[in-house]
Amino acid sequence: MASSTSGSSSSSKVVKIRSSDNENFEVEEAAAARSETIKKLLEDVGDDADVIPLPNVDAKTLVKVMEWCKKHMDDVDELNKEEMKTWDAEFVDMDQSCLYNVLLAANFLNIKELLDQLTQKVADMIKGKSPEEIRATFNIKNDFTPEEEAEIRKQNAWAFE
Amino acid sequence: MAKRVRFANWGSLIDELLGLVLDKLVYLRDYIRFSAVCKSWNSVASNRREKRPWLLISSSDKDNGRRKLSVYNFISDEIIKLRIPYKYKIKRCSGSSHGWLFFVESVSTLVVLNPFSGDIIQLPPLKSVDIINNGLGKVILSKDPSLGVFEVLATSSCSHVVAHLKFGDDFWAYSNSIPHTNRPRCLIFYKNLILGASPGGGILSLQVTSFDDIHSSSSRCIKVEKIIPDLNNNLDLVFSSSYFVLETTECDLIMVERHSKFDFKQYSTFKIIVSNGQVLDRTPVVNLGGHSLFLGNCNDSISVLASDYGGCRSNSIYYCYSYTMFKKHLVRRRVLKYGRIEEFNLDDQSFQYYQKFSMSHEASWIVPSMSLLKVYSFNY
Repeated sequence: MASSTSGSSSSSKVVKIRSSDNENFEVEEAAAARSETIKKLLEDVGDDADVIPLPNVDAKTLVKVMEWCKKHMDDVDELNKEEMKTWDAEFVDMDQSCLYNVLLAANFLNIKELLDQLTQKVADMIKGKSPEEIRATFNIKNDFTPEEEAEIRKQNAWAFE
Repeated sequence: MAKRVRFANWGSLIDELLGLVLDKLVYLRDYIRFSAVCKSWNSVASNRREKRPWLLISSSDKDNGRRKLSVYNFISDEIIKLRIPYKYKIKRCSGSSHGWLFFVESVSTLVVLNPFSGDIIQLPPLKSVDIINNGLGKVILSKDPSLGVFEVLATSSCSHVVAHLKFGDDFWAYSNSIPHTNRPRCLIFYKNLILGASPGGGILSLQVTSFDDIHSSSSRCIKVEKIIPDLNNNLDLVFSSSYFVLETTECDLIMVERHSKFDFKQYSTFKIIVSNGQVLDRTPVVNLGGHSLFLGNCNDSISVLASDYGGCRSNSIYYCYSYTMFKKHLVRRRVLKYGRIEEFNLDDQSFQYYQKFSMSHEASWIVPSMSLLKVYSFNY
């Protein structure tokens, strides 16, 4: 069984969550509660909760998301703001398929701040690129007919220069 | 149990997430390129409503003197010309509210125009001598008229008189002549209240009362009352300070004081505490809870949550000021009017200035409330 608990804050409560591929994780409640979805589930089941199943998130993605939640567990003071920014920038710097899964997970788990950071990352990857380059970056199939594409380009020719 | 996602399929990412990505883009160019990636991205770009404020700029055409209206994005320095009906091109636009513009037709008729959809609403004539003689000051709407019954507030040019109308009414209600110290510098519809700021930074409450006879214009009147005292009575400070009241996305009511004298500039922010329809207090606040505030001189101040949009800094105040320049070297001396955005960040107390732009009248903030792609293609 994988475990992501650490001894940093010994007295805090631990909750168990289970990924879609049936791996169990133990996470500090304060970290897990960054997810509005988990927080709500915890409130609903109270202290009797055995394991909280997360049918939409696989283990690899869940490890990543919980890494973020642990880092963002406590309020950041002014001194650590810059350090946190650097950490966040490194965190979102992942390959596009991983980014895709973490984005979906952040949406399902309802973690607004993480969602903001991830969508900002995707926007940064789009910025300044041509449609062809965007398709190549994200492995997207062009499903326009040649006529449709020509029409879009004709309407706003300046944007494609 | 839901299937485990193995392969990234960005082409069919759910619309909501694509929309969030789109909100983070700042440049129109990136917007248009986004729409050309694939069909599902195109559909999101065509339908996602733009909720960021743009600046509405009115300028005169050099050649024919005709007025041009455009919306301007100061962050990306991009401009979109608006195609408004010809007859309004020669009229002065009296600001905007909830994405609609105001024009005065035949002296006293207020026309509300949506420059993005082309819809026009004509309101009953304003019969206040004060407004007719001194001109219209500021106009605000309680909500976007396309969303149902709305209310309108209009002031005379120096806020001597305030007029109120509920859509569907035949007559406006008017206040009496308002004493100097209570003339609203700005007005806002907040929950069921009508509030404003006085020249000295006090909070005003406007009450519209009806009498029995609903068929004449004298059946209703507006009472203006100061419910929180002025911040300063010093005449010098009153003249160098401006006040703005706006509602955040979390429904908090915020007042901003901008103090400016020569090169000295300073901002102070306050929260106005309202509970059960009663204004209780005004307390200083040091941050805006992650919001960006866009301050306008035409009752058009708007706030957005900075983390939702690209290019907006959290706890920043954006203010558009205007200045004039005299060009001496030209044969005929010309007066050029410019606008420029000043940004003040509450976290690090820093000022930042953006690209200047030319304009002929006060610029105001406007939220297009439709997709940028539609705004763009409708107007070109």
